[in-house]
Amino acid sequence: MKTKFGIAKVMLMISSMLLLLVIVACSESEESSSSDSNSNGDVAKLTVWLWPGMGIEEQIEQYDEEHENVEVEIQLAEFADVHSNLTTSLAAGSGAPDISAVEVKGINKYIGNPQHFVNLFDLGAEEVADDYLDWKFKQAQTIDGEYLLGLPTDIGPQAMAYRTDVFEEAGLPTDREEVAELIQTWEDYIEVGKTIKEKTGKALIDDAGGLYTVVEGQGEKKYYDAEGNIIIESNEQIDYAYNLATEVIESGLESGFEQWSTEWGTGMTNGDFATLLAPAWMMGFMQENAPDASGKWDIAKLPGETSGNWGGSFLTIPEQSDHPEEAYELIKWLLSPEQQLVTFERNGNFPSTPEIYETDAIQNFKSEYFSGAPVGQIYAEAAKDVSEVLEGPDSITIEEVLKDAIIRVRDGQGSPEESWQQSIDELERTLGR
Amino acid sequence: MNEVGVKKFSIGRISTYVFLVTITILSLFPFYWMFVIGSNDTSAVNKFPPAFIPGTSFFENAQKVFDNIKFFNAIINSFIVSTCVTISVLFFCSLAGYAFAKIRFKGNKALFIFVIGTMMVPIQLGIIPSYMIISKFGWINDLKAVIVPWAVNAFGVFWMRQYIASAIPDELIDAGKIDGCTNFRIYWNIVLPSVRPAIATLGLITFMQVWNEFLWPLVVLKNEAVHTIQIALRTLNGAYYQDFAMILAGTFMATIPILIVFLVFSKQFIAGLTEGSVKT
Amino acid sequence: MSTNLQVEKKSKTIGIFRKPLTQEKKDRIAGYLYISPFFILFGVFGVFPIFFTAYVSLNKWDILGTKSFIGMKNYALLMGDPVFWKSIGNTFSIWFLSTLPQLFLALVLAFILNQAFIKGKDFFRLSVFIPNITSVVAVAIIFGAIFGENYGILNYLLSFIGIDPVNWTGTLLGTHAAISIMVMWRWMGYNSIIYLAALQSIPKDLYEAATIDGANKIQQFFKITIPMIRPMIIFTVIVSTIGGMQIFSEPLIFSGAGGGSFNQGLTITLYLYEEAFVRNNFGYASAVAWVLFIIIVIFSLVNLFITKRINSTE
Repeated sequence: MKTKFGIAKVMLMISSMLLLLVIVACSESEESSSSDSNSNGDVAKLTVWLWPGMGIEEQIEQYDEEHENVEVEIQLAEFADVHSNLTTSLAAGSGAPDISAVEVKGINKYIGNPQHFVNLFDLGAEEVADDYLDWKFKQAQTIDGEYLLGLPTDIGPQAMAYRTDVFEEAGLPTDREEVAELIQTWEDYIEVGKTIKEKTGKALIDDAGGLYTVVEGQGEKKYYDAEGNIIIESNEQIDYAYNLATEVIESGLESGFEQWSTEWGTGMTNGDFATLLAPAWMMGFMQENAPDASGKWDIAKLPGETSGNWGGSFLTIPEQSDHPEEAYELIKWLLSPEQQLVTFERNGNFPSTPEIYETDAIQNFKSEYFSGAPVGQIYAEAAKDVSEVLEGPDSITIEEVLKDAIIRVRDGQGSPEESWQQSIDELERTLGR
Repeated sequence: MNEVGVKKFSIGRISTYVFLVTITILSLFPFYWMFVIGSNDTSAVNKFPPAFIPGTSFFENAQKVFDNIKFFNAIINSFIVSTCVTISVLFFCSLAGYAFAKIRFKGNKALFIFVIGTMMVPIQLGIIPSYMIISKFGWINDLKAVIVPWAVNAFGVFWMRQYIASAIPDELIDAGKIDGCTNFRIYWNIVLPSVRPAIATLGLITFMQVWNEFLWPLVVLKNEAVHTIQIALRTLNGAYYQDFAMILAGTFMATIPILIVFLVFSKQFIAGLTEGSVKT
Repeated sequence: MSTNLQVEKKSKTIGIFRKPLTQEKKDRIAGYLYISPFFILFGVFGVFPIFFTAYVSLNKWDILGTKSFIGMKNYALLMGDPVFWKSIGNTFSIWFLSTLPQLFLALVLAFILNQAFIKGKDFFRLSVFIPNITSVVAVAIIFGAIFGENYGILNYLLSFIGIDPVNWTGTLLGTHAAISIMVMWRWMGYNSIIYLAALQSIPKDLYEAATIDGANKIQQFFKITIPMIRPMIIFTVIVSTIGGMQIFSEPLIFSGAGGGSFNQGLTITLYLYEEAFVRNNFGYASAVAWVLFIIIVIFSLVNLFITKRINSTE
């Protein structure tokens, strides 16, 4: 009896296998027919790769409805997956979409091989250049300025979030104007940190690596000069940023939370660190992850002479696209000041087009979470103040390796000097491959 | 432990149970915790001391999952892929395992070593060339792209070969041959029924692995209509922050089908023992 | 049913058209036929990537640009790369800390779950297998919460016995211990399910006879169980060796793609991944892949040798 039952099962398996073969055969023919429809008629079929949270899907659908000549299909994938999929299909030479979102770090990677993308200058992007913040627009250009890989979407201008309760406990002013007055330079910042440490025992900042990134970005140059040479060791700003970060660690002003860890969120709620260098998009993160701290945070201008930027993206048109003109029309419309305002109002992504900063939507944008701070105004000011930095194909690797030097100091794996040298040695090895 | 004997309530038995229960608690806790967060809001992840009690927002979070992704569509895709792969792996691997274990042919041993050798090749860099192959076949955004390459694997062949080699005495095969059975008959009527625990185990492992796999599917399945559940779940990750409560509620629901499959296969695990189809 | 008949028919027609085949020939045909699906599939999907990687390893290639042939230079660089050597050390260290105890515990667990007196076997089997199906996202969050320095559960518990907070992610030992615990947690149940299946192949009367002879459970475990499931032990040792040498998810979860600031959690596969997809040194990464392959082959042979020796001394 039992064996019969077993055989019946195996029979089921075999017949399913046959079924599988049939399915394979069937979908084979399906495939060829669908590729036919792709090329017929005047309708350009555009595939768009985005990740969730970009807030532009609805507008793309609206464009699709309003335009007879295009048919748009949005394909969502996770942030990192969009980038790795794009790299894979560019390398393999097929499968890339007509439009793909690329984050600024991704742009840095692709910029060494711009031939994989349509040069938007060829499609007339020069005309719209003035709509965008200068520094942002230049992020997607090759160092010689000849080639434009993408049009800007949102940006991540930075400000300093601070805990009013901790500042009060330390006997410091809590009003955002006064705080900005008190902390104008990074030296002031460290002084305040020492006061806080002394009076309350709390840390000044969550993570010194983040401080390093912000400060090095405030210089006129970063890792590359205008000819594309790597200038890490001759750039004083990097030296300054590194010393500042290691000083924070050695004076015990850092809380030792790793960003994005769960305990980071706990510390954010409990006020274990008095300040957090927060780009505009961090506001949403804080509200979701530390809702109990609502009203305890406030926001002021970033210390230092200029502001900073963290993140933000672009829409690009891969060279493989069959319809670059149609694709360009879509992104030009979608990323125009008017449409960026729509995206901001719907989803809060901070726009890269300065002319709408004066609109009521941004000017009146206040946040209860940040004690009623006019965050729209603060971030708009910060956005105009970002210094223009040239990035090159190895920027990400360099930043990672240099930040490792700081983490090593924190973990007691060497003095700041030793740790720095170790990173320089590693860079020499890795960039030569 | 060294007193595990025959007595009913010996210290050995009690300590065995203590050992089992400890392992069970450690094993289940993260799974349970997934539900705890999935039924709270995202900030519960960051609570200290940690949240241990389920909240009341599970259905709310589940609703958010359904709003964001085509959950059931993705479940069906995963089910198609996992079932097809599992069936073909069970069939082809057991057949090959039987051939390697019990059929004498030239190069048997060398080919078997080759099969094991293929498992040792690191596959991480294969993504780009594999993508080229699939794209040549026109299988991008087609479930075939994840079913066909996985239809038989070295792990399964190796496993079935080892199991058949140790569970089935050669005399049994020889007896079958003397009775005039073809090789396929022997496989069919003698080998398969005797290795049901191995089949069940391989089936479960294969189903589970295919169900949870995402590295390869996410490269070839980009169209939402063909997303498997793991790919769909990944699109719940926002660009700037992640709603962990929603993600874990979705993940929790996506795990339930594997639990059902486990219970289905589970009956087969012990089957071989009581049946005694291998008579010695 | 129809399929079954067809198969029978097929074998008959072969018999009619050709002269009766000898058993040897039949065996040969069946043997090659039965193993062919694997080789066909491997030929279609497996061979090209291997040659591709081999070719790329002789080039300098950033994935998107043009390849430039540099011969064995990547391999030469690799030999002098301290980070690569460190990643080899880490991989072996984590393998020893996780795989050996894990396989032994899994076997013991399977042996226990196979005992007649255990009640609720279905439940326990399911429970120990659950870590393997718990999503990686959940695992990442929960292990992050356990091993945090400031608010980690483990440090919180250690504080009760007077131990100062341990910086798990920032020290070599802490990282290896934490990754190994994660590996054991995720894979022990999986391996015990495999062993459990293996135990089913042992005829029950062997144990009965041993019990009558007065052997206790421990003796039965070492004298009957282990020798009887030798092929399956070899299987798990080989598979765990390969899996352990290619360990990726757990260190990635715990230390990130870079393997930590001083590469404390960087395993070979993680290094390969980082070089290929983070730093875009695809040629170099391909060289890492080939050296890793050689390491796995050698280490598997060593383990096979040791496993066989242990078994034969029983």
